[in-house]
Amino acid sequence: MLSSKEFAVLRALIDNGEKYGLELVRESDGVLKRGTIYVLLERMTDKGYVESRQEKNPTVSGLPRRLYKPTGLGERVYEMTAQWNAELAGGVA
Amino acid sequence: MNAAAGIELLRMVSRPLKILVWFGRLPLKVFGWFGRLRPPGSRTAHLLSLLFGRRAAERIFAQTIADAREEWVEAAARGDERKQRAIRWRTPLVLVFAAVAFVLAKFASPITNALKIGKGVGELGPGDDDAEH
Repeated sequence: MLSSKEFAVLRALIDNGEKYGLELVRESDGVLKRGTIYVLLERMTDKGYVESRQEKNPTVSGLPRRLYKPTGLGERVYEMTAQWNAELAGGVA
Repeated sequence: MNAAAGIELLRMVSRPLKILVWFGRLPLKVFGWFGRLRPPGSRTAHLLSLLFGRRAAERIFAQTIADAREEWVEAAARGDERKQRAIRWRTPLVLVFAAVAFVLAKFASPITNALKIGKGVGELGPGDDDAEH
């Protein structure tokens, strides 16, 4: 089962494609934090839910960005978790 | 009180006053150093890479610095000096949070998982990453 933060990351990546940490933080409405986003992404990479690549041309920051996208496993786990959450909500209602 | 006595009194109190003023301004000097208008640097990231390894430095701390720089540049483009100072202040704290989260994820999680499934930390395999799975 995914944690709420892992779920938020996968939802953003599945809905909007490749993203880097700051974009995920900005779009999460406070669910994801600047201090923990990259540790979370690293943990999700180890679990096989997301994969990353380094940007070829550094952006305004002058440092190369690492872009993340969901893996097939990540997408399946996300769908199962979403289905599970919907069934739970239906059972409670 | 005559003029000579007044001058003598001023001499007596001026040295301790100077010392007090210097120490009083010291925090301002330190705060000013932290709050100066420059994009957040990567010296802290280099230090953290020595502590936590190159992979963590590249994937966690350098990315955090890149985020701070991007936000700083955006604030500078808007002419928002207050935001620039805030980013300069916030970045070391964000890096410390990232370091704490990294240590917790690295060490606390395997220990708690091992306790949940009754295995020693050394006995954990790849499938034992999360006990609740």
